[in-house]
Amino acid sequence: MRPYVLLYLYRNRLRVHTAQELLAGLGVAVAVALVFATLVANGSIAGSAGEVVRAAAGSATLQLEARGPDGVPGQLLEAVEALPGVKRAAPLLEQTATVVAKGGRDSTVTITGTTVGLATLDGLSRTLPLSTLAPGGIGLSSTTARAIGLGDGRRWPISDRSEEKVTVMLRGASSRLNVSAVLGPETFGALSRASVAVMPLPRLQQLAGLPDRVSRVLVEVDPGHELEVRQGLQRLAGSRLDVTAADRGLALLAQALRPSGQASDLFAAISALLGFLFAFNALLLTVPDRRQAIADLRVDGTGRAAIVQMVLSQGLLLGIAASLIGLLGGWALSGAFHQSPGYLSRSFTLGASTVIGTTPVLLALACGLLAACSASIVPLLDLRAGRALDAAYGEDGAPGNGLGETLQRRAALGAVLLLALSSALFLLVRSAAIEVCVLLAFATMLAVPPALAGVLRVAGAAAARYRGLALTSAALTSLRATTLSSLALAATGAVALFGSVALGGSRADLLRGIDSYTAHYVAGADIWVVDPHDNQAIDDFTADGHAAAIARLPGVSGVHAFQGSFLNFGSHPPRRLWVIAWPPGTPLTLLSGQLVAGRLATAQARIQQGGWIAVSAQVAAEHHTGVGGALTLATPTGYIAFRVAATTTNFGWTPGAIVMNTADYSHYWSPTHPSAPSALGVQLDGGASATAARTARSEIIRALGPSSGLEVLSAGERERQIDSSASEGLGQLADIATLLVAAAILALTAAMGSSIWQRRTALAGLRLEGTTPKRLRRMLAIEVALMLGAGCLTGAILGIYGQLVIDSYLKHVTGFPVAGFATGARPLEIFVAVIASVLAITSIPAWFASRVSPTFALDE
Amino acid sequence: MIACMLELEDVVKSYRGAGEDVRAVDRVNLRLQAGEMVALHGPSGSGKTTLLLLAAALLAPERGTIRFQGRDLASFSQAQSSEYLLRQVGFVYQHFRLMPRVSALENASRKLLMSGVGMREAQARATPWLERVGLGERLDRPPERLSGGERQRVAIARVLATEPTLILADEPTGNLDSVRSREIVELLRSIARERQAAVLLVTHDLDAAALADRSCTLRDGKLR
Repeated sequence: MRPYVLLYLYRNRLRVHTAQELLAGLGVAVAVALVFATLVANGSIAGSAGEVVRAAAGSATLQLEARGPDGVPGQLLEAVEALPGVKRAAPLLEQTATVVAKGGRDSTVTITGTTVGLATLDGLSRTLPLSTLAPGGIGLSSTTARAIGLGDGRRWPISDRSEEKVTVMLRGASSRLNVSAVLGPETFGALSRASVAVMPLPRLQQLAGLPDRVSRVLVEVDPGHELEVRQGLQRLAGSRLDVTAADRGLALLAQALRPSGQASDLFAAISALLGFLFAFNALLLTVPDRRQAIADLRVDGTGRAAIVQMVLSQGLLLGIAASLIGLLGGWALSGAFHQSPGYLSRSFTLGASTVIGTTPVLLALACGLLAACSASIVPLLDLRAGRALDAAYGEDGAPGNGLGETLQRRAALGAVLLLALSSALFLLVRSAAIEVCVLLAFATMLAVPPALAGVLRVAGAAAARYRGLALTSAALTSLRATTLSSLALAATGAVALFGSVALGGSRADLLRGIDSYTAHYVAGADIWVVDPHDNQAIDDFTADGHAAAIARLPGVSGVHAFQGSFLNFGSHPPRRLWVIAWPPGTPLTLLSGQLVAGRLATAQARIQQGGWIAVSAQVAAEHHTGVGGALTLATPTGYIAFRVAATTTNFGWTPGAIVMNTADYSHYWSPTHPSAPSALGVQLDGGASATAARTARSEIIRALGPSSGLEVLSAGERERQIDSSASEGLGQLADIATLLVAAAILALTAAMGSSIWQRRTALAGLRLEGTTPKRLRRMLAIEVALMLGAGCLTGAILGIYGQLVIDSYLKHVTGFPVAGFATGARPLEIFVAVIASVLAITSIPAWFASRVSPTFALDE
Repeated sequence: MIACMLELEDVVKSYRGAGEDVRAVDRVNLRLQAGEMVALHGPSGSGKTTLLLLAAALLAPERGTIRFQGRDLASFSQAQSSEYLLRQVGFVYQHFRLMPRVSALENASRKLLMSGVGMREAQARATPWLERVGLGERLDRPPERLSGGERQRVAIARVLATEPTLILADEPTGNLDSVRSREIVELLRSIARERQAAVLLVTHDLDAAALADRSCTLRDGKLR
């Protein structure tokens, strides 16, 4: 068929069925928006971080990196520059700090201290204002400036706003610094979209108390000398430094984001499935018209191929238009979703921009086109032998309309087979959570026909028994007459409930697990002194005299120095491990409830004794070790073999964690600053009543003095802060789960409203027979409740199974501290919310449709 | 010129009922000459529409032979069947089957378009037929703004625009009053004579059947 004829036919179809096509388009657009927003939001974290890492590294391809917070001697730069094949090298010191503006708003930033050499390396030397690296000032990225409410994040040169000052809280001290510049994209490139600040290297070394130390040296290599330079760097590094690719941070971040990426993929798959159902529902309403049009064309002699061409082209045109709208909607949504997870921002320099790659665009488009085309082809069933004339003669309604016993049996069998297959896969391959959940989602769809038939049977039996349920009989008759459409609507509710219950439930279990871990963790002290917002206690600080001053306060029975940092470990995959070091005299309460293998008392005793560690189970498994075995860590002082006292969860930190005592940590990590803690734990006399804790907290703040850059928190406050950060990190999942249900309600109400509206002729017929509008409305409400009840119940039940699968994945594959499986009232809440919302919204078209004039039946 | 346009010989067609097969068409013999209009009438369920569908090659007979211009329809491939419907047959329905909100001219051009004719040519070829059926002044009107008789005439113009040699009309007057019915049947008859086309008119309206050149009664699948 010629293209213009196809367009002409579709134009005519649009003229006649504008509302139906819009509805179908809306369904496809909603699906595409969901898929696209999910993929972009998740991809943006890694994508924008990639932009930041690449912008910082510039043309450098290699780096010499310190393993601990104390960095490496700056003199190494000269040695690196002297290596043959090195084109350029630049040193940088990176410190996490809190920047506070005059109004009190603060932001956690990565401060980079560097020289002009780095600006040359990363191509910013021509745009970066010279003032940025002038002594005495700090240059803030526009994102940081915006976060602390400084000049709306607009760029300004130093001469105009040199009076602007910020407080920088770094390594236990606070300093007032001039803002030398606010750096927008035109001067700072992608770095402007990250929470970063920049200042001269010597000044940052002074503020951090790390004279002449740097975190890493970036190296640009002359073409063809990569291997030679790498070998030279390795000679310089010995066993105490790492030589890695300049963008190694990306691989570490990718590993950290893997579980949330999997969750997003699962959401995208469920969204695509929902989209298909939305479009299918909407297009089902057009099936009788399409069938008639196809029958007419066949009687006119149009060949099968031409009809298939016409149907597919119409699906394709609808799919393209709706997908483009969906992409726009998804782009807007992704902005709302995309938040840099707080729990990662202290460990990785994350960007705040929305990064749209080609993969999400192509995937979302493919989903939209597939949904529109596959939903459009139902009328093509008439092209089967013997079905040519069904629409034109002898049959009403949609093809395959009946909910026959064969269909029920086949669907039930399919659902059972898929359930069996997914269960087997779940038991054999724990990491295949997405595949199992997608199979379960399909099983949910297949379980709907027998479930609906069952509900209809039960309702029919009840209606036959109780005279008061006469209206239910009428509703059942209508439901049976529109079964295919009812099935599609019920399946939509089922899949939405499945996705929301499974993912929402797992998120709740995970949050409860993290809550439980946090409670044990903070129980290590009554009052905590840490760097602001340092939930993991990984940034050490200069505590000269602090511990002693606090210990002298009345009511204080002891002060313990806790330590910790991140350690890049392994290569397949590379992990940024969280090293937690607790002082020997402190009970290791944080291990309670977190052991995967090993005995708690033994593990605590061995770790206290020294030379032993507890390590996340997935890390131990990757390195083929276990309780009693050995694990060699690349520490700042060299490769050290530790014995494994126990394996644990990941303590809520995706890449995994290591627990040891501070004596070991000091010995191997910071021999030059053996007493530098990352947290001080204060024990109070006779436990910690709320009043005693409040008083002690005030006393401690006073003892630390006005120049302190530390935060003093009660155990409860610290627990709430950590929980809040964890729930923020998982916030995107909650957003998407809610949106999934909202989209399902929207699509269901649109399809049901339209379906009710199209039934006005039949309703008018009932009015002709004397049925009152009120009874018609009740009948319609019963129909909606029965149809959705069957679907949503099926979805909720299989969603609970999905929750179990995801819980297991999180627990066994990623090592998260997931609490025991509990469904609570959430499935019921969603079930009621969906049915009540749909009933409430569809009552509007139902009200108008029920008041249709009886003569309408005669007019038609 | 081919004198015998359509020939049905001992044609049998049954449908599977609840318990037993129902013979819708039972050993029917019928011949239609070029330029001839034959009316087929009978009560509902007598097999009239089935006979029409057999003639259109949309159903295949169990037994017997149907020939169009001497060629056995059973020997037609799927493509030949489509070609037969597209080029030789014109189907007129009781319910008009027009596209709402689309002009009479576009409706009348549809079949030509589907046969691969360009839009401009299709409309140029459909216009005289709309004029011929008395709708020359209403080319731009959509079906909603036409009377029942006018709608049926648009449907007839759509069929005639492809200049078929066999017109199969399934209760074309079923939705019309007696005056309009007469007009439509006379129109079909005059066109049949003018174009030397054969018309098989299925109706249960005896008055309409009386206007045909020949009338047959179908009862319980048997032609009497």
